[in-house]
Amino acid sequence: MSQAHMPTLTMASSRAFSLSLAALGIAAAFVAGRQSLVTNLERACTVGDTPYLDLCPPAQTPRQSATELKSEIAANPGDSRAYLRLAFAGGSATNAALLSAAARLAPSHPNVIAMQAAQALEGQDLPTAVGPLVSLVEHGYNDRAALVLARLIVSGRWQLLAEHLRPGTHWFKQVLAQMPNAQGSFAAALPLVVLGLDRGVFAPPELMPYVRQLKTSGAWGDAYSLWVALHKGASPILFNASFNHPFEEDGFDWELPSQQPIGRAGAIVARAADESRGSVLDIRFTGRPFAEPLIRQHLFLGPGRYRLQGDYKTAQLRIEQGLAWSLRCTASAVQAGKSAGLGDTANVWRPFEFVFSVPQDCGWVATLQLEAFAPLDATLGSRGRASFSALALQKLEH
Amino acid sequence: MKSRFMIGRCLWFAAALFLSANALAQTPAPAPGKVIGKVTRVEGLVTVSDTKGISRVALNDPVIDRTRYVTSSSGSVTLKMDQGCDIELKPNQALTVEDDRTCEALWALIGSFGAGRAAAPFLVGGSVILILGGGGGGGTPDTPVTPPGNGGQLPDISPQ
Repeated sequence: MSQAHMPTLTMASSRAFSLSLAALGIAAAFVAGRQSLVTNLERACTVGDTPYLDLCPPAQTPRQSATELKSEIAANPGDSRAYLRLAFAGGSATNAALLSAAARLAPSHPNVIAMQAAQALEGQDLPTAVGPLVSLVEHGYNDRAALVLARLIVSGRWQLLAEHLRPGTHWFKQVLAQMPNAQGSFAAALPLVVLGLDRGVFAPPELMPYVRQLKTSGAWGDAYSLWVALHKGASPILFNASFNHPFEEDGFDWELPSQQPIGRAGAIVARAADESRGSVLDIRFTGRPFAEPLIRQHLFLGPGRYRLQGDYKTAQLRIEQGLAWSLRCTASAVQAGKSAGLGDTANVWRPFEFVFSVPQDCGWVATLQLEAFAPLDATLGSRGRASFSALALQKLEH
Repeated sequence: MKSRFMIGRCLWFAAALFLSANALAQTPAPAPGKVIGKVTRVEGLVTVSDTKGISRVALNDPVIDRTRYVTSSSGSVTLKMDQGCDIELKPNQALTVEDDRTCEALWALIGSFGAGRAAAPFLVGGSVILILGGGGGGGTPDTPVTPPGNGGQLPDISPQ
């Protein structure tokens, strides 16, 4: 058994000896190489054969680590890593030449770009800083660069970023994501967002969630302006008036604010197909109490008189005083007007008209909504069915 | 034979063209309002509304009587009125332009909206420091590093 192990032990000893020899060789080579690097550096500094690089130690005593880095650079003047390390090793004020050298060797290196941005920011040179920051974000190297850009936008310096907003770039979306961390609202980025929209950086659906965000934050004017911009720059004052399209609830389309599970709902509100009219608004009352409003739309209306027209029909509608359209101001939550009660029509389409006035102090938007004429009817619940079609809203001249 | 066929086709085409033009001529077009000025400057998002719709304002658009201009929180617009004055709307303002009002009356009618909760304050103070890169000063050149000293620290860019 021990004999069987003898060749193995011999082989192991031989391998260890070989490894030791190799290690000694490497050590010797390292010492020799290091000496040659120092010599080369000294030679380079004496001869000045790398005039575009500030490698040579300044008269002041450089740190040992810097000396070694310079040795590496002397050995390989194209070693951008060594330049970067050296650039980071000293005070920032002395790094300009090193950074410049590194930038020539590796202009796309993220650390080179980060240093360029940092130096520009140190010098309060914001226009110069923006390019490297954008580059960092575009290539996914630095979330904090996105935060810096977001802060620039929040501080009102969005114009600095405008020239970098080009089709096919993605950095701006990451900057937008940092807006909350920059203590800023999305509204501050709106001019750039619109610029991005015009230049094809965004597709309109990508920005719809921001319309909702602006609405939620009470920035009605910004939300509506963006909504219009997302619809090719134009929108009727009553959107989707004929219920022809699925509702875009993030925006200024019809909203169903009180939807309940179908099994418990007092009213089921949806778009439906009608034989003669195409798409209509269809409301089925189940007998349970129903939440109000049944449907609503925020309208961007200035002061003045308006007329809402349309057709409706009801079948076996058991609401004592019928349904009604009403208008509420967002600024005061005051009801600015209410239509007459729309009662049972025995399943026949009939026209209706609702004229209302928007007061001066109504605020950014008013809300048009459908509800029970008498609030008690919603509490008691109802049965039957109601449909609305072909609505139109127009401002009256006088 | 072939040329007679071609003539026939041309006649049919001409008749169809005439009928189409006639039909188009009978379609009632919305009467445009009276032009009372021109948009000479627009920044950010600005909308204009008439009796039926709302649209985004563009440079050199005509200013139509009885339309309402509204600026967003970062929008502004200058309307050069034919009566000889410039009306400037700053962010969050609105004005309905009317031909029978003087420039002084229009200026007086400019209304301002509250900024709502849109304009959050910019809270970067001098003590807030942001470091570029995710690592420490000893990072390798292949990983983002934090420049030492002032390198990488962002100066205060708050509007104070």
